[in-house]
Amino acid sequence: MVVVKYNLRDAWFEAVDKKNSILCAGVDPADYLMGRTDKGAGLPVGTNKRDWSLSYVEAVAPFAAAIKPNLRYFSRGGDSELLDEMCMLAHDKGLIFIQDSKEADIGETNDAGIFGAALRGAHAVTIAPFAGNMKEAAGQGKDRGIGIITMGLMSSPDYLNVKNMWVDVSDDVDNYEVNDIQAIDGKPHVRFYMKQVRDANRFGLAGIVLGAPSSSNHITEEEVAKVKNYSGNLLLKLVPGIGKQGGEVVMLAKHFNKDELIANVGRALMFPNGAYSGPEDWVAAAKEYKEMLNKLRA
Amino acid sequence: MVEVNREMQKRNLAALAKSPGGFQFTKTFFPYTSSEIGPYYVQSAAIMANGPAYSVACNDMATLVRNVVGEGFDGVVSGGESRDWCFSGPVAQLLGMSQTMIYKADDTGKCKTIGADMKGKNVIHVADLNNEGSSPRDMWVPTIRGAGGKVENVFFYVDRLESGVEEMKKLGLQSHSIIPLDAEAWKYLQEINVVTPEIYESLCKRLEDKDAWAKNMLRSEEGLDTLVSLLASGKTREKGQKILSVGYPEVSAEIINLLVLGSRKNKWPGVERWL
Repeated sequence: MVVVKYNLRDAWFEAVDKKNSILCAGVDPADYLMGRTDKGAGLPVGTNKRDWSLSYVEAVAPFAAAIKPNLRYFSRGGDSELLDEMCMLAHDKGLIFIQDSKEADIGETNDAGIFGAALRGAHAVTIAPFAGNMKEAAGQGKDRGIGIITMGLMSSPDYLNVKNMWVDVSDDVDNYEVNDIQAIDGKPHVRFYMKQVRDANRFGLAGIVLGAPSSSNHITEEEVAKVKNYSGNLLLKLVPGIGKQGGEVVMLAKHFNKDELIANVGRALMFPNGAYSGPEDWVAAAKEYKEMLNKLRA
Repeated sequence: MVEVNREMQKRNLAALAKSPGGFQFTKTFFPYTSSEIGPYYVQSAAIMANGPAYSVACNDMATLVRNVVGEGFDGVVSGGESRDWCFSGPVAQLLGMSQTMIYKADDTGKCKTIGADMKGKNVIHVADLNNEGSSPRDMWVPTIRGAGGKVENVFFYVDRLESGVEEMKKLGLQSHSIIPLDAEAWKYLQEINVVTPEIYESLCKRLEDKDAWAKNMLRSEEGLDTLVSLLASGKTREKGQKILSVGYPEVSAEIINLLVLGSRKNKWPGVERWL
């Protein structure tokens, strides 16, 4: 099997170096019909999504190292072609293109999603290996020549219960700290999130999604330390949900190489002044985030 | 070479076409082991799936041998590992001749043999398929001659009429086959509705000039699509890359340019990483 010699980590560091930024611009333009516009979190009525998306990417490109379109927001009409265009624009602008599709299927069906992202030209694609098929997806990513980023430790409220589930690690027990292991029915178990992170490292994935801890979510500094412990030296950390003060990233920066953090900002970058934000607002917001994140990197 | 027996050719073509995996045809192309491309695959040994048809095939092979070397021929039948043996064993048995089975070269580069001693004997080589002629050239004929055998005739169940034809001449061999895949063969397969008129036209164009056919195919939208599909998977990527680097290096830059131009039109944006 001929595996493409492609390394998201190298591509990411090259982009970070070139742009002097770890900012990743989320591209999640909620359709007007979703009813978010009044909350300043959706496109105004009549907006041409193609024009909006390409203008937004053009505006933030000088200040960001990556863009991350979430495919849930690109599932109508000609959205697939728009993603192709956006990907090519990202290449032209020296941006890493992370296709946030959270592939969660199995076998060849999952491969279809990974293949599609690779053919589009994406540098990375996100997965949500619900079926426990992270190793399989890792192999598919290597085969297709695209970086795979898996869900790791998420900050969403419902993940509180998921992350604390006990899961069997009989086949890899030597790679866990004794204090993290609990015997259940005679078999070694660890918390789910620990295994997620350890497996991402073990199977050679490109990165994990790591929620930023804050007072408003359930992620603790102790858990971040565990993630650090089990993630090894090669995984990038895609960090969503960064606020204007960047307080969440401060804590992560204590534990990780700062340039390994793909600092994603979505809504605050797309709609800094509400639904009618335009290129000047995007430029100003992107510049502000870039500078804020660079202070942490200094 | 004796004149092609068209009746034998037709009945064996029809039987092989009905055998699962005997023929595969495509409107685009298949990658061959030579790194060249073509619109069909053929698998001679597939005839074994049908007992009566296999029996006819072996009998026809034996008849062809008898017609070429004569009734009184005293010699040995040889066959190379492993698909030649599908035909060499039965032909030897039908003609009441002894057989030598020649194994592929081992780590020492030599081919072991089992069966009849070939020293001082006339040997006829019986094989399943004439493709590029590399196995007869590199293993079977040197082994026969190295063992003191005299070989002048080689018999194939199927002859793809590719570079193997010239290789047999270089080896000083008379080449014969039951199913030469010539214009008559393709015409017959169209007549019995095994191939569509579209594929028949493609097969005929390739017969006229296989190099020109291949290059035009690679330049076409369908050809580029097929090439991308090969490049996209690690299992077939090397085949796709070798089509450009080994099969058709003189148009490699042109095809890569077409792929890249294609990507700029948002058709294959990610293809460059697979080249």
